Amino acid sequence: MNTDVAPLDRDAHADDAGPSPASRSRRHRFLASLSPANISVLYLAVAIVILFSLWIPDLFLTSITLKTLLNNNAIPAFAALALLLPLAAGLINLAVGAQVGAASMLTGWLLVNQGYGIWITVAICLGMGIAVGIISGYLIVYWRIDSFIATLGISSLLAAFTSGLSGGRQILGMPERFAELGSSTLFGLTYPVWILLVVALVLWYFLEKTPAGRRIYAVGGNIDAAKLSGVRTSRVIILSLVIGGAISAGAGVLLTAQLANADPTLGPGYLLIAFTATFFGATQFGGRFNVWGTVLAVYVIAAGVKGLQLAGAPVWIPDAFNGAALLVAVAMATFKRSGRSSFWDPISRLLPWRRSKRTAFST
Amino acid sequence: MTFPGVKALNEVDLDVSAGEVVALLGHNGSGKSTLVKVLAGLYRPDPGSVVEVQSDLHFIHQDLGLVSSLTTVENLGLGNQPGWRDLLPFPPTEATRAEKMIAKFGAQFDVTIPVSRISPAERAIVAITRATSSWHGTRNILVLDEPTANLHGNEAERLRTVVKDFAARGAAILFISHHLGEAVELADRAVVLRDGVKIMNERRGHFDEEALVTAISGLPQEAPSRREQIAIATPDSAASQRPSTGTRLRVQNLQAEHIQSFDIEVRIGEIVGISGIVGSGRDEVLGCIFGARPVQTGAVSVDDVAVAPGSIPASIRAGIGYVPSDRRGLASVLTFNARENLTLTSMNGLLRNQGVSIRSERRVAQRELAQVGVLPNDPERPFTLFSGGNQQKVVIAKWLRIQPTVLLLDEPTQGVDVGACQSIYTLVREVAERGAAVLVSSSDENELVSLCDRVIVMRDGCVAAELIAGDVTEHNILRAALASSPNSQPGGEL
Repeated sequence: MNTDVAPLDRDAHADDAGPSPASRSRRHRFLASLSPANISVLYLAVAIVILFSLWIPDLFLTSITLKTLLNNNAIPAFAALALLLPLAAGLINLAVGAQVGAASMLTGWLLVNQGYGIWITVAICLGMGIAVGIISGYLIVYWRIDSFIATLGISSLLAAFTSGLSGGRQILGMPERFAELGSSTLFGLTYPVWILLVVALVLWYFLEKTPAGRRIYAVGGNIDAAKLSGVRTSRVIILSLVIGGAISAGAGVLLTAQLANADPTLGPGYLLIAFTATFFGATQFGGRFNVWGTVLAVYVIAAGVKGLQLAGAPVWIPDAFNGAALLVAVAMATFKRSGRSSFWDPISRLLPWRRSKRTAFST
Repeated sequence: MTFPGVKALNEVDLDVSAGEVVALLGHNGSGKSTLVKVLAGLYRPDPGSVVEVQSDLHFIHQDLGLVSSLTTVENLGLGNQPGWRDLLPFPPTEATRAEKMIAKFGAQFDVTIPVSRISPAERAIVAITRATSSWHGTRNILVLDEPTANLHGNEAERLRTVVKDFAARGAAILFISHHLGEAVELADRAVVLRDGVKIMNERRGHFDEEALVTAISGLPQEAPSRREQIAIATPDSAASQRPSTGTRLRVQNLQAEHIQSFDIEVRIGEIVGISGIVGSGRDEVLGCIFGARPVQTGAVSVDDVAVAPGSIPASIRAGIGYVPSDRRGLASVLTFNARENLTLTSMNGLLRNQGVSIRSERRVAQRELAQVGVLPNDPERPFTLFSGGNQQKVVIAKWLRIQPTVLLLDEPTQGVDVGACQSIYTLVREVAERGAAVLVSSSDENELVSLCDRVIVMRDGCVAAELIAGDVTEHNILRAALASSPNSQPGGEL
């Protein structure tokens, strides 16, 4: 026991004697957190606002535009958050869009065709999201299907489920009270935006402040090391998919409420923005998949698209913008994680003089 | 060839004539594998030195380099140079041709099934066939790197026969091996390297196992090597002060892949080393005890309480900590910083009402990193930026968090510089002094000598010898690990 006490004492003294290095490192951390590399999404947001404010001031810089931007992109933000946990755990979830679509259609079918009550419907839809998460997790963990393939298969099954329920037609005539859930406002913003804020807060707390959240990151970082440190990796994987499933099911319910109908073609389209936003978010606030980076990225990209649309850009612009943003975001996230010195490093290394320098160093 | 601070090879020359089998021997760090890599062109020799390779070398590495999902026919075809002919359909006679090729090595098996379904020796034959099928001219040497390391009994015997026959037909063969019995049986000439210098070069009949052991390990009174200096510098008197009553860890009848049968008892405060060459089961045994590797049978108990087999969480609850040898691949999350790696095993005591407080976690991490002497003591520093030694200290500190009653260390100082080795040894001794049972598996005999109270030597998946107190010397460990007959127990006689 004696050996235990001595170093503790020594360290306590060190702590007392040297508050200055501690505060210096704290200040250093704070400054580093403001660096362009760390919060480029915020700088980008500012740049987009300035650009379109100068370009189309009377169209872009209005409170209507801001409100529609926030209201219309709550569902994509939910989809991105649903994808966030599986990605943090090192899984690809290609079914996230189909999950939103299936839940949306199930909501319409239960409310209109079956005449169920609102809360029963919501509960059944969330239950379906959880069940889909459990099934995907089971396929990945126990059948050892790669998450990419497993969720690709699940997404097709969910697409079949959606068109089976709808017969390829929209379901119209949602109960008035249910449609209000999507359109009623509080301080000028619709309920889905406020629900998004609450879900994001809870998710942030879960990921950053609980051991379970830390374990999700550990599994995503190195599943073998996590397992050898006592993390029950199977449970972590299934948990991340279950939470993701519940969030995307909730997004589906809110989508139907917002539109006041259920459209069988909606859902899969959210997959791309979900990936773009999560990877873009992963380059922000410390370099791993995180909640606030993801939510901000959804809105920054949406603001860019919105501005271009208002400025009269052709119809193909949103697709092109989203696709390019996804590629740039993934590349940035990958480079950041691989610890290269800069985004341009792999490109500049192709230059002949840089290459010769490097080989000279390595030998 | 020079590595930082070490001359790995010093004026080594080697010749193999047609029809001759030459065995290249030497223990870890002797320069043996460096020589092979220089020959293969992976390392560049020092400027000024001359490397003349006057033959075409054909390498067969331990893993054989076969594509296991392809058939023998297809694997043999992989060696051909690509060309426009690749676009034509396979000639129908290919299978017959492949059968003829392997028949040259006295083998006969189905060449149209994936090589994953043929026996290990047959796979080695396929690799040899492929390597030798492209021989042109006469200056050819077949280099076999530990060809029988992963083979057992009859399989190894079968491969040796193939090699012998092949040499008898005029091929020149250089084989690198750890098995002394194999060298004595097979080699026309044995070359032994130690510390980068050719120590021995004897024809058949002029050497036996005993002579090889002496040549490989060197005489005890010789100038101490790098690691031996460390060993001498640290008085191992701590062993006598440790509490040494009662059995802490008991492993009974452990059986798994590469492990025939393994039993061990480790007392409170005891440090026990495990030695053994590649394929002896040494690499696997700690993972099996911890539950990280599948086990056929076997019972593990800590303080006479049985631990649920095959469950890592159960092992950790029982107080077992495991530091795997692959630090980057298995022991750490590279995307995490030091703090997050440290607290991965247990976040107990870090939870506040508002969840995990990063600030208090940082404080705890700073204290615990200071205890193991991690420099710089910055919990927020990304794990990858620490040096190998400091990374290893973080990994050990991670297990100290659970206050381990049993600590399993696999190659604890691999890729760690000399100074950090020393402090890791001190750390391990402190853990033992606090009453933990420590098992150290290492391919570095000097490490075992300087650290352990007792050393278990494994061979062919079994415990071959047990060396206690004064018998724990590098020479004895090597001799027990390298000896051929599983019946003779050199360690016991000493």
